[in-house]
Amino acid sequence: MKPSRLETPPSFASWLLRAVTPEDDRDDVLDELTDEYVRERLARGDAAARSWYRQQVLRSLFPILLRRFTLTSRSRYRVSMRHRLEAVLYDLSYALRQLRRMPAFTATVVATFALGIGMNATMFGIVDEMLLRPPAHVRAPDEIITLKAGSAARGFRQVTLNYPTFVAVRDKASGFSQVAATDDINVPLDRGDRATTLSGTLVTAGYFDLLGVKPERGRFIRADEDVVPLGAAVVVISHRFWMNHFAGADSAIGSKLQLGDRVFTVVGVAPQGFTSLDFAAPDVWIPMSSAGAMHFMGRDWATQATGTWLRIYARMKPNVPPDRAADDAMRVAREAAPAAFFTRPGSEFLAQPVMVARAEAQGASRRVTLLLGVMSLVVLLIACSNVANLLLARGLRRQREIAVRLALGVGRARLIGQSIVESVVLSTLGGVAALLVATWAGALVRAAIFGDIARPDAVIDPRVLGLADESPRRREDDCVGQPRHRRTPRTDA
Amino acid sequence: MTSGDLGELELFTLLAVHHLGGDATGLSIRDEIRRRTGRAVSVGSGYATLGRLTDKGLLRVRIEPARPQQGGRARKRVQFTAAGVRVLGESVQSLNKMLDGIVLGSR
Repeated sequence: MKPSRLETPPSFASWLLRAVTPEDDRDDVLDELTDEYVRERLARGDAAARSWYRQQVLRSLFPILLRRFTLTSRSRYRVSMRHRLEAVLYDLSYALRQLRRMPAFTATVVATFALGIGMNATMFGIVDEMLLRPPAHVRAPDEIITLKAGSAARGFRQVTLNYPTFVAVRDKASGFSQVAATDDINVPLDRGDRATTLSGTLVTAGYFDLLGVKPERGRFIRADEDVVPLGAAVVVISHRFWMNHFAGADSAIGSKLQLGDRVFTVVGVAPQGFTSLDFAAPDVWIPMSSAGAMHFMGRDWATQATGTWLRIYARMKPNVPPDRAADDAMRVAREAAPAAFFTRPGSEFLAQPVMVARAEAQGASRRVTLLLGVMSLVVLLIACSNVANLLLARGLRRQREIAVRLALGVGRARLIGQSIVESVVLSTLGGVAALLVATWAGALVRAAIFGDIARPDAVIDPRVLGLADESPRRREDDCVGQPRHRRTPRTDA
Repeated sequence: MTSGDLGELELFTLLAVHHLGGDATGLSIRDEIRRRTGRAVSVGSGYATLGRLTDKGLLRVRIEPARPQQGGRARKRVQFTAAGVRVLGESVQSLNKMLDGIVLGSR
């Protein structure tokens, strides 16, 4: 005969107690309470016993939950590292078997990742080098500014100034710790049949000190070698010119070079990858005062105060606002070159950080570079969606396998863990292939764009690869688990 | 494990097991505590306390086979371990020392 409702303990309270009690002790606790309930019922009647039962359950919830929490924490500790490692190794081996069983799928995903990430990393590397990275070998480039003239309303378009202005700013302006000037020129090398043209930069004596560059060989230009009206015939050569012209021999220091109408002595070699503050990459650096007839401005280059031909760079003194330094520079420039158009009333100087000026100077190539970067990101997204589609299709095909595993008692957490391991294996394979692609393609693209002025450091650094690799990995982690567990079959499926 | 690590309910539980000899179950322990102290221990508190004492190695649980009768089921019998006997002895000894000389209501 079925017992009446009053003969059994309150069902909700009983269910609640069963739900919170750890499985190992569930039957004991419930049996014990039921025994007591029967005793209470006989002694005090049904209603009182039911009320007593509910109170017992209510009072028991907190200690049982506390006990359960303690047991759970301890059991987690009990799972030894060895067991965890074994589980991961098993998942790893299973994932590799799965990937080996579907070579076409695996190859397609890996190739997609390799091209997607690899080309993306390559393109971002180029964008990084052209727009983001500071010039190689330059110490604290964010402290270096270039002086531009103009006005806030019309823009600061005048990037070149003149020598008297440079001298005044160097000697009298208070906001800068070091000041130097440069002018890019073409330099005739040798005469007769052997004559060629080099790209050169005229620099004032403090130029290399201002940048904080150390010579690869020899030394840079001394202050006593750059004196008006005619400085010493010494020259610093680039690493590229040293390799091409002197085959990297130490004997290059002290060698003679016929540059224009004078014979110059090589006193130093600049470090590899040093390209000045832009991508000019000159072959030689000559003291400003030593160029003789090579001066664009002619004989009175040092005194001519109306024309504009040289760029002025300066290192900011600490805690001096650039605006104040620029205003002070304009004050001394007006004294030194009162007739120049850039010192007229209404004109101002802008102390622009070289990193900003460098990016601005890229002009059209900057826009093209940015566009290429955006396009490579789009390509990466397309690659991601291709991989997502492939994984979705594979997930649908594996529904039967998942159903069997669930029927055998595999937990959902374990299945998800398995999916994650498979994702990691797949993305790692893709990442390694991408690294190879990025290294090879990066070297080719850099050689095509930068030629032999490319930096000596790694083509793809961790920063670049991290950016390119992060988004597909996340995307893939999201995608791999989804299709399989989108509609996890029940065990009776 | 020292006697100082025991809580009040744990001490009561050990004393109840001692009183019940070899025939202690969860229900009989709680009944014994209620009978002697008037304190009604909930099934959850009793279960959690027994669990803690077992974890500390002071008690052990022996599963008694189900009796061959209708509704007969396996029961868990609670027994002392050697450490449990020692710790209970130390606790009672400490308690006696603390109680020695106390005349309630004298202050």
